[in-house]
Amino acid sequence: MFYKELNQLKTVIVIFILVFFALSLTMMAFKPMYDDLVKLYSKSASELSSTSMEAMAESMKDIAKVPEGVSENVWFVATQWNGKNFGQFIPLMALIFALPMICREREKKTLSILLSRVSRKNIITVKYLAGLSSLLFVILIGNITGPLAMNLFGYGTNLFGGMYAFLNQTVAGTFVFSLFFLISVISGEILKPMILGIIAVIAVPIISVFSWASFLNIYEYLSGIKTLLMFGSESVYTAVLLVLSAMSFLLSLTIFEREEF
Amino acid sequence: MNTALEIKNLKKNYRKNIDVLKGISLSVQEGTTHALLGPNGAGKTTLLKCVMDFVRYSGDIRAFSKKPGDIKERIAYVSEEKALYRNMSVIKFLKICERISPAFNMGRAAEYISNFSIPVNKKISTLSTGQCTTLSMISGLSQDADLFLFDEPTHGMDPVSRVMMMDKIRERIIDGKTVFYTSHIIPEVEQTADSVSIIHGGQILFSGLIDDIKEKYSIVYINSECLKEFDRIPLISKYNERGAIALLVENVELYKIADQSIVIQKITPSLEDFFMALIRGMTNVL
Repeated sequence: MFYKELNQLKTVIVIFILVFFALSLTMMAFKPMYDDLVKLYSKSASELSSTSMEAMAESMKDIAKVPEGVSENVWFVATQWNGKNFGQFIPLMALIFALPMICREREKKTLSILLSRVSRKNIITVKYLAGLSSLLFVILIGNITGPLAMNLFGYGTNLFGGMYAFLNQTVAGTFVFSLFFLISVISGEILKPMILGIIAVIAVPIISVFSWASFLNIYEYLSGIKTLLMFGSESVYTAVLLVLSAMSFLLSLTIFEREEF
Repeated sequence: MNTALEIKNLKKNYRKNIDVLKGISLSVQEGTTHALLGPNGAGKTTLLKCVMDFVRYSGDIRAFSKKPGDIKERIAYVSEEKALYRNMSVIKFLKICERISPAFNMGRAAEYISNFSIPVNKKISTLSTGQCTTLSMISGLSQDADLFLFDEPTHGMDPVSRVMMMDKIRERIIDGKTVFYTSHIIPEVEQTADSVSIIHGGQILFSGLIDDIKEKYSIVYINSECLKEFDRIPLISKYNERGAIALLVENVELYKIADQSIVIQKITPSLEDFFMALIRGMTNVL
């Protein structure tokens, strides 16, 4: 059954990998401009004299400052690729991988093929694992395409330098995927939850700007930057996200086992 | 002979307390074909869904003395919708079936595909309704199962394919397998099935061997004023037909009527006559 699920996901996986490879190549056009900006910020900070402007310039220096032990090229990949491009796609990918898993089969009335041959527990478990592993595989590849593009353009970068970012994105990806998988189990059709999902993907980061909803902000996980700055300091929040993911899966399983077809 | 499928006091109601099945009991013997006949909405599909554990129910269902959900590999099921992954090619779909179910026999499937001339490399979405039904049936018949459950197995098929499909079903019976299927096509049931259950309004009106119908039952036509003569014997069904009263009775009971001359006409019912008499009796209350 795992083979069947991967077979149905393979086109989406290939499309995402091609898109990310193309995007990472496009990103390289901004590398010289990025280098110039970093130099400009550093220079501005040292030249400004007024107190308030000095404070602002200090924060600018912090932004531009590359953490110790991290090369400028890896930093460029982390901020410009993971932070501004690739990371943003993860909730959308989770939506596209998770949502059709159950509700498309329900809509097309093909669930009886599986239900008559496989236990409900296996159906949910295999579908969840197949979808999640596909998502994480694409995230992993996405973390390699950035450094790969750098090397192709002559900026020597460790191909696996983004693996800390991958860990963060795995947490965020698992969380978002699990929520959309639960919606897939509950929903009877694909179109409405897909539209609502896209709205949620856009709306949640906007809402999380407000302090009362700041806990919804998983952007730092999605961008993968957090690991480079303060790896391990948000372990409770990470644990909460993983527990919520597990709860979503268990709830999906419970609902599916009780459902009538 | 052992029992392949035993259903006892099966009840099923959907939301708003609509009773779809009202305490159904029937049994299917191993190595036989049992057909479930009934008009639309009688509860045939729901009954199969209960057997497959697709819906919640009350009552007891046993396949080979076990809960059907515990022996899925011994049961093959083809749904009413003829579920297929329509974006796949025929060969891909069969490979998926092989991967999903260890009981799937690819060699047998290839033989059926050849027999029915299904184009293996074509996308399923381009196949006709009849071909889709055939392919869905092939996916079920190719399993090395002991009990086959088919919901309208020949729906949408042309007459030649239909006959061929029923032959394939009979071949599985010769192999010692058991088939339980629903149908609307009574002549087909008469030719294929050993026993039949007739369901109407969620209740079983009759369950037994097809051969017994001709031997044990008669339909008699009488004038309405003679109806009281039949008060003393149990009538299975009574209804109006062409200005007379038609009665479905057991032959042993019919002989208890002293004055046989009141019978205008007596016929030995075919399965179709028997089915129609039962259903008319339920819907055409005198």
